[in-house]
Amino acid sequence: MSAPGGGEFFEQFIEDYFAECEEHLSTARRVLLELERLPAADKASALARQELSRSLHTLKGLSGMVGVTSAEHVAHVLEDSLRGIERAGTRFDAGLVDTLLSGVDLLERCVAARRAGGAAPDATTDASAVLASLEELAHSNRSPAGGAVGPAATGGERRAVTYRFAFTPSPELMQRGINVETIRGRLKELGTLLDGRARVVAGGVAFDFSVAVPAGREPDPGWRDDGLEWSAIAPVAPVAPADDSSEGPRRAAPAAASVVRVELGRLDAVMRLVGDLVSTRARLDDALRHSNGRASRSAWDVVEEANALMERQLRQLREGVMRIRLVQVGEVFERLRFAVRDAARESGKQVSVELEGQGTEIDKLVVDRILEPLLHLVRNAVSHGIETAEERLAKGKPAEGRLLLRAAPSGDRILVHVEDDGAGIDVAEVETQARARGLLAPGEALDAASLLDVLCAPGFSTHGGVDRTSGRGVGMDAVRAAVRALAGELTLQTVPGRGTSFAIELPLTLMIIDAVIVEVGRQYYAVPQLVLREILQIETSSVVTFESNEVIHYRGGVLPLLSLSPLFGLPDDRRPSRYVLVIGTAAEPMGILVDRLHGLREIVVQPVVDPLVSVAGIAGATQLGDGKVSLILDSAAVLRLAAMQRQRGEPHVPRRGTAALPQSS
Amino acid sequence: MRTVLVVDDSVTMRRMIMAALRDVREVSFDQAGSGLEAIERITVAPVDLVILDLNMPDVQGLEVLRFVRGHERFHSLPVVILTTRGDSESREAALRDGATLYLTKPFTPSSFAPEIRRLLDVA
Repeated sequence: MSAPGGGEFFEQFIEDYFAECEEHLSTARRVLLELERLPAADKASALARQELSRSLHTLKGLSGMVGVTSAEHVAHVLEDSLRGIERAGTRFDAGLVDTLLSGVDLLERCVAARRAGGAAPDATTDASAVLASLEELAHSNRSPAGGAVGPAATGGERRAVTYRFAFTPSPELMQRGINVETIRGRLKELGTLLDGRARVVAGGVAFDFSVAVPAGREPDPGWRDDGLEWSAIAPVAPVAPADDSSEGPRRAAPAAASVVRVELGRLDAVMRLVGDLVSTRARLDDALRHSNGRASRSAWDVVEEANALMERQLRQLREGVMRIRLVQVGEVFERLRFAVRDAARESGKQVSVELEGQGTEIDKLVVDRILEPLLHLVRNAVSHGIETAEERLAKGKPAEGRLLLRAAPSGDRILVHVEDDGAGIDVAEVETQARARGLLAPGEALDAASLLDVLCAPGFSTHGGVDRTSGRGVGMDAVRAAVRALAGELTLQTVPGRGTSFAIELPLTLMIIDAVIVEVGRQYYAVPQLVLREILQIETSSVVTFESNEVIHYRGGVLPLLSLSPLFGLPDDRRPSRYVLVIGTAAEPMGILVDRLHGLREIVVQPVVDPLVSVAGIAGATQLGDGKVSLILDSAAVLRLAAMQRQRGEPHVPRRGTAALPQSS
Repeated sequence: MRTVLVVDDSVTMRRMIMAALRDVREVSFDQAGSGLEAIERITVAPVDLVILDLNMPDVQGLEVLRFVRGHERFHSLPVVILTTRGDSESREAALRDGATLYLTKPFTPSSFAPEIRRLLDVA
């Protein structure tokens, strides 16, 4: 029996694989950070260790199925090292957690390499060093170091009460969507799930769960209607309080079984269709208004009513599609927590992170692209904002600095704050530097807005060298550029001695397309790459004026040319055009004259589907990284406008091939 | 129509398993993402075969297997263990507890599907 490689067959699941890897990698990181805090004897620590090893096990299994053997191997070594740690009873101190985290990083790189289609990183010395230290752990028999059981959990312990729950499933309950997993989800929210087992009862099965419920919480009495019974047993040993950061997003997340993963591109396609539908309806609306009175009153009412209903439904459809794209910002916050920990360790500072509003939802695309700027801001806050413990104590502040990450919705935008209680920005120092570099005119004072401008000037730094923690080659200029590229806005507040707060305001949802940026009469336009047939470089002399229209020779015929400025009623102060963008169909192409090309870029489009705010020929606006605003050309509308001009006969645009032209040499 | 219950805590793995069996005729699938859910499914609606992962949250595969074998009703229900654990102890433990077949991941559809066909006695 010749077996085709499983890896090839399962290649079709590669996207699911990447998505599930992401989940497990972030679980592994979160759990490792938890383990560093939890006393080893705590039940929560044992549960966390199980969760970690399960995630690694799943990563190993899935990697094997899709043939990513490097990831399979690293996951296997990590699993082994966990078993070694368990056997030796080693404490999860910072050093051990670091080693394991570097293993998780390596694993992520293996997956990322497969995703990028490149070679696995195992050949690098770095990778073999990581693997060697993990393998050492796997074979360690080191007995627990002195005081190995670890410190008491860091404050805030609460007494908990153990409850025993019994759940009896039935087909009726299942039909209502209540099964053992929903029940388990509820119990996990309520407290720490200690164990769960099945027991056979007359005519079926029942499940028993023990849950340590923090004081002050109680099961919902309504659960008794859902096949659940319970009783409190006794108070148990203190359980570390549920950590807000990790519980928050998990609590709000829907049961995993009811989640479907969709490629973003497919949603974009649906979104575009919705946009098209909205403009079609606008045309229908127009047509209806013109035909008013040609039908009987009663027949007309029905049409009007249906039309109004359709408008409402379209709006709902658009909102519905947008909602599908939303994810919780909590996952990004988790990664930031991780970066703060690293930065604090490197700079020898004590920093606690507080998260607020992790449940706030934002477009998946925005979330992915806001991570880098946020990373930079939190690293900055730790390395430059927050003072050392000694400095803080001398100022009468608590030794531990505080970093607050906060997200909140604000209309159809969301606000993300990165707030520290550090020294604040030294405005006088920034001013001196800015003057020295000529960024500030003499006599000009530094206010809140210009302070940010100076900080975001390319390469500006009040610190001598680029240090590893906050530098990494990008400065505040890169942060602002990234925020602007997302159609967002960055603002800053700083109080000397009290701290600094950066606020990023972002659109809730957007789309990204590839577009060629062109310049016509000092105005920038973005032309979606998809609609471009060709770009021609022309000599001014090759443009021929024919019946007061400009044309050029093109593929054995003529190509009518269109100037954008008059089309949009802008002053036609254009310089000699050097390029022609060919759009339209092969049978009926149309050229747009442009002065300069500024290359292909990814641009962010905030879908404007409300016909009331749209201008014919313009699909929207986008801000380029350097802050310039560019209008996005709606090529279909431009072609329609040109056709309308042609119908009105002013100025007449000849159709290709319909005119005989004197041959120019 | 036979019902195969696929038990694995990884959604992707469940989908892979079902894809590997999509050419098996007259089979429909039911899924469970945990040991507890598996037990619930088995007891609430009849299934003809269980494909069972070992490593799962709270109630592990072996406990599900013991539960199944501990009850007269499910005495002849085929349970196929499909796991990443390739060591002989795990294999022996599972066979001792009454596993019908012990297969390991990664697997290929061409080796996996015939085993399931044979156990279900279908084409």
